[in-house]
Amino acid sequence: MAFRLGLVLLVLLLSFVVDCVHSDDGATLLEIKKSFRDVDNVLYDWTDSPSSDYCVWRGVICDNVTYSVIALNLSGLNLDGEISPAIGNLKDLTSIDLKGNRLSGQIPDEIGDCSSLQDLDLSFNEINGDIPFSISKLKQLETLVLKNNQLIGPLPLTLSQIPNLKVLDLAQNRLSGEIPKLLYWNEVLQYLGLRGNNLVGTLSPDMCQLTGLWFFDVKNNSLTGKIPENIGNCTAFQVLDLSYNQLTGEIPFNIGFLQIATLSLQGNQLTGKIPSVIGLMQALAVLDLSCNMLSGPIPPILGNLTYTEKLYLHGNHLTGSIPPELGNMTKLHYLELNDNLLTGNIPPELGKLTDLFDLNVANNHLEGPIPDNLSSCTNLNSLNVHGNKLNGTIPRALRRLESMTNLNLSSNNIKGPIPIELSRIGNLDTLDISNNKISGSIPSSLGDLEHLLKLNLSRNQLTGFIPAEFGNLRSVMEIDLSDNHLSGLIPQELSQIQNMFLLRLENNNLSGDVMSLINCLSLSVLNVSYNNLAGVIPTGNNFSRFSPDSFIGNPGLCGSWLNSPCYDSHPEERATISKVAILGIALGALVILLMILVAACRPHNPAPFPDGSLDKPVSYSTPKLVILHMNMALHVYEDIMRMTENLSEKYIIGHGASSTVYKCVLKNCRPVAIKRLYSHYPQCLKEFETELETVGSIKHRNLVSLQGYSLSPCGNLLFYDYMENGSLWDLFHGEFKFIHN
Amino acid sequence: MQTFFRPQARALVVLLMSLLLPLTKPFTVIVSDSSNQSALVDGPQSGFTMNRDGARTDAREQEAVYDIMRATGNDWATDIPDVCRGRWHGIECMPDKDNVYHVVSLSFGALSDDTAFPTCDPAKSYISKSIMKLPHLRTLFFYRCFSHNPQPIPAFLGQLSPTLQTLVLRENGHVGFIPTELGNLTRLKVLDLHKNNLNGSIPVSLGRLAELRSLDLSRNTLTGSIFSLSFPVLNVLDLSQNLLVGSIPSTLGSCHSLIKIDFSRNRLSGSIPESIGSLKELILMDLSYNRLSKPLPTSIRNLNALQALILKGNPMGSATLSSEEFDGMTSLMILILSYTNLHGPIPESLGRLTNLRVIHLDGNRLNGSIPTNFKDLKNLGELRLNDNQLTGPVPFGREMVWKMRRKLKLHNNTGLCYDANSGFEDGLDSTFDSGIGLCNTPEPGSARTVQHLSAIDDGGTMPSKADESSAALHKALVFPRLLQTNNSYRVYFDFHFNVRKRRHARNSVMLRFFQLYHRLVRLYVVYCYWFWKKYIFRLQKIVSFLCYKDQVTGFLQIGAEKLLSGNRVSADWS
Repeated sequence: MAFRLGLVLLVLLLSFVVDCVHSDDGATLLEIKKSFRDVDNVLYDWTDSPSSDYCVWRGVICDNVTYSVIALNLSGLNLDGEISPAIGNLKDLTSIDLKGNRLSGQIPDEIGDCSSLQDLDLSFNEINGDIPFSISKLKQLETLVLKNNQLIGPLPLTLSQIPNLKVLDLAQNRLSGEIPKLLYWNEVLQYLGLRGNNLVGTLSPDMCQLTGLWFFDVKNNSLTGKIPENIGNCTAFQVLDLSYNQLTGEIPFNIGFLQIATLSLQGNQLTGKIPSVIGLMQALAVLDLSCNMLSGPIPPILGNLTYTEKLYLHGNHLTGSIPPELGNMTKLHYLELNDNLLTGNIPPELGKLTDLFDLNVANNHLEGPIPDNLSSCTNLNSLNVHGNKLNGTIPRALRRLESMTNLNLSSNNIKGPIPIELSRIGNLDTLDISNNKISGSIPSSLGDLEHLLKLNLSRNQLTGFIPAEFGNLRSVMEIDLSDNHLSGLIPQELSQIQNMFLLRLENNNLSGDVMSLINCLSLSVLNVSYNNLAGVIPTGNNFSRFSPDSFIGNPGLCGSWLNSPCYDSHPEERATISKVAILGIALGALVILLMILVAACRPHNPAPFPDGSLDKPVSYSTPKLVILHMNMALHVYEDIMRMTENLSEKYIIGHGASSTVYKCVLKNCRPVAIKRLYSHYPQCLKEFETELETVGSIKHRNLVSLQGYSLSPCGNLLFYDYMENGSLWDLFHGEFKFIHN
Repeated sequence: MQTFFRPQARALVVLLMSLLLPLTKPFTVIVSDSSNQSALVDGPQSGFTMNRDGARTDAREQEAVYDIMRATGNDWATDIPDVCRGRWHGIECMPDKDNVYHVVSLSFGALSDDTAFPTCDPAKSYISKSIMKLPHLRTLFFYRCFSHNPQPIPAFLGQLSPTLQTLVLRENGHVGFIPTELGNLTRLKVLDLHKNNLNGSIPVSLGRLAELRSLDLSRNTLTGSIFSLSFPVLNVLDLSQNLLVGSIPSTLGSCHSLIKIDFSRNRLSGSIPESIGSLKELILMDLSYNRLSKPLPTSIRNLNALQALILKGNPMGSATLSSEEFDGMTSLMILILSYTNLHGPIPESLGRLTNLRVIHLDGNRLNGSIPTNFKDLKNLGELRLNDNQLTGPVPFGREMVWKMRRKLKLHNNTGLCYDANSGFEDGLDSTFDSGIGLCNTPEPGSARTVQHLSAIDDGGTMPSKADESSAALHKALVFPRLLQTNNSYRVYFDFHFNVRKRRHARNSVMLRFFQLYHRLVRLYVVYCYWFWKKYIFRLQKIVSFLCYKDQVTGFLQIGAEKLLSGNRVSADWS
């Protein structure tokens, strides 16, 4: 009986205790809410009304029995403010997820009081300060993810006192100091992400004490010294990324003991030879040794890596020839051997790489012809052999490479004519065969390359006319035919090319006038100097922006500037200038000045390029398409531009106050919606980019997720999944806001 | 990765491997260790198929692996035709000179999704004796395997092959003693028995493990004292969270390679041995929550690699820190001496250790002022000096205060204050109370006090609330000297009672408050009432007065300084 009574009392007491815990947690949550600046009022249901049960509040998960809060999931809610020290009162919390907000301030010490905590994710916020010492009191902690914040200070060595730590991701902060070697003495750590900090010091041989670790990433720090000789003892490693540090010395032979999938050592100062033993690391999917100071030959045994998809050896001092054995790497998608000192021929065996997507051997000392066998690489998208000593002719078989978008054969010793077959590669967007010894005339069928964006045939020995069919190159942005022996007129049809911003025809024997170019409104770089052109240089449209240098060396060409051929020939006209004419000239100059001003103030609209290029040619590189989600991975910037005809009006599906939305449908891909922002702050590109990467990482079922972006001459472009239903404009109008149902 | 294990793919690899075999010839074959009896070929292994044509797995070992798999509930594994073929997770093999493959590593337990070791059936798993039939075993790893089937660590593990280098039995729920026989595993480098229910003392036989580099016996219920251990190459020694008693053996000083000592949360007594000074590589020493009762040895200053010294919660025998204490410990970043019964002033030498980022000296009886050179500790991110008897102005300027923010804890000291022109106040977080006030410049030497009072009234639950609040107020008045004779007292009065009830009771309490604290300089009130104003206006020394309503908490708070509800301190002070 007494026992029963005791039991009843115990139950009563327990219920009382539970009740206490209960109400305390609610008050604590409200305290926590107070320190958040809840911009979008997403925590509107967190109220202190007596009827409100905090266990049903947004993001709160309670224990079924004790009703104490065990998990807090407030990720991606655009919360501002700070993490309240009150969080330490939630003793039963096992999981805190606040990732993807805009929280600032420091991590409160009191978080160390959440003694049951197993998962702590504060990534993608703006949290600053040191990692608090009290984190090491969390003995149950298994996952600590603090990446993408602004944490400073050293990596606390007391993290080594968390016995169950399995995931430690502190990437993209501002942590400094050395990696404490105590961190390596852990039997259960699985994942160590330290990428993108300011860590210094050397890699300790103790790193192989991490017997369970599979992911080791210290990319983009300032580590020095050698790769530890015993690196091969890290047998559990799957991903080893030491790239973009200042590591020196040789790649240890011992590395061959690793059975890893990704080996990234690029962007260091590694010397010596590529150890042949790498050829035995058969699990390798990615091998990146680029941008080091490696010398010696490419070991033929690399051909053994039959699972490797990416082989990057560019930017080293590698010598010898390209081993034909590389042709055995049947899974290879990317082969980049450019910027080395390689000699010999391009081995025909590379033709066996039927999955190859990108082959780059530019800037080496390769000789001999381009092998016909390369035409078997039917998936080849880009072939770059620029800057070698290749000879022979352009293989006609290249026409079989129907997927090719980028063909660069420039700066070699290639002879013979441009084969008519090149015009069958319908996907080409870049064709560069400049600086060779190509002769003959330009095949008119090149005009069939309707997707072409860039055509460079300069510095060859081409003769004949500029084909009128070039007028069919609707998308083309750059045409360079300079330094040839071309003759005849500038074809009238060039005026049909509305997107062309660069046209270089200098040092040929062209005759006739330049009037046909008057309608190329987007033209911002023009050079027709040193030809036999005649007539008057028009002053209308955009011609005012071209300097005399664009036209000199044409004895018959009249311009309105000093030393122009016509300038001297009609002195009397100037002498009889009336006051009205002076006024006219002054007005004209004012108009020109205004136009320049307008153009300078609006560099992205409509002219695709900044007008800093008024009197000198711009170096134009392909705009970067930054892919945030893998859905976009199959897209290439040029493809998108081609399919939308450089964002032509007919693809517009909506307008907004600050943007225009286009739809782009690519073959084999999901449709993409492209949002073009009118550029207001071109100087803030970096911030724009950073902001976008953050936004792009947010996923929400009610939010059209950002797939990628590009800072292109056409303006800043955002790429989204195209949504079939509903008004896209509406969706975009609320693009960064969360929609509540 | 999955696709790599498809049989066709494997066959392809075998084919290619046999084709490329001549290519592999030029490699030097390294035999890892001449004294290694197993004499396995320790060289780069080729890819996913460990076996080349003609190679085979030792049949006895294959059977043993089946047994061990069955014993952990992995009956499916008996269908694997060749355990060394196909890189099964948790099984690693190596060939010998005759191209016979031997099992060198076995791992079990749900470590994570990324590391798919065979899991254990928690209810019926056990370690099979067949494990002794693996003469080449180097690594044995069991994680969270036998928790629901508590069993002792089998003594036969001590008869495992002398090749064993790593023995990990983590969080397995093992009970009983650590078998003495483990001392026979003389080649052992890592012994990890973390988080079991092991009891008894640490067997002296473990002292024979001369090649040990890491010994982790933490989170058990081990008793007895630590034997005179001496491990020449030991790097990590973790005996934390046990019930160990006695003193720290002075032989510890002979473990010259130690980088980490963690004896925290035991019942160790006596002193830290003088020999500790010879551990030149030591990076972290955690002896917190023990019963160490002697002052720090002077040799501790020799530990110039030490980065973290954690001694919290030891009754260090009324120790006074000498003025050269910690001198020379130039690497020190973390110093935790909370609740160690320290007396006397804070040593000035501490201010010279500019790498310091964390200093906790709270809960001691430190007196005097904070050394002025503390302002040179630019890296400092956490400083706790609260609950001491410190006096005088704090030497930090705005920048340091701003950097540390809430992590600067100074409350509950006898007379800490800040100079008006130091910028200290500018650095303060407006929502956070530093716990100290402005220095009273005209009267140097006069005692300054900071008082924290709190009375809690939650209105609804207990009947005589008004009386109780009054009682709390009375309690405060037990110290009339402090409150009335001193010119510069500061009062924190944190009055928590339900504002919606019993207005009369509340007002009478407030009336008395204003009478008593008539020398208040600053007043901060949440939920003030218009009829209090006449009292407030009578406070002749009042300089600033802040009043606003806080609808969220519904508490009434009064303070003579900036007051934060989250920083309440109870009134039972001695």
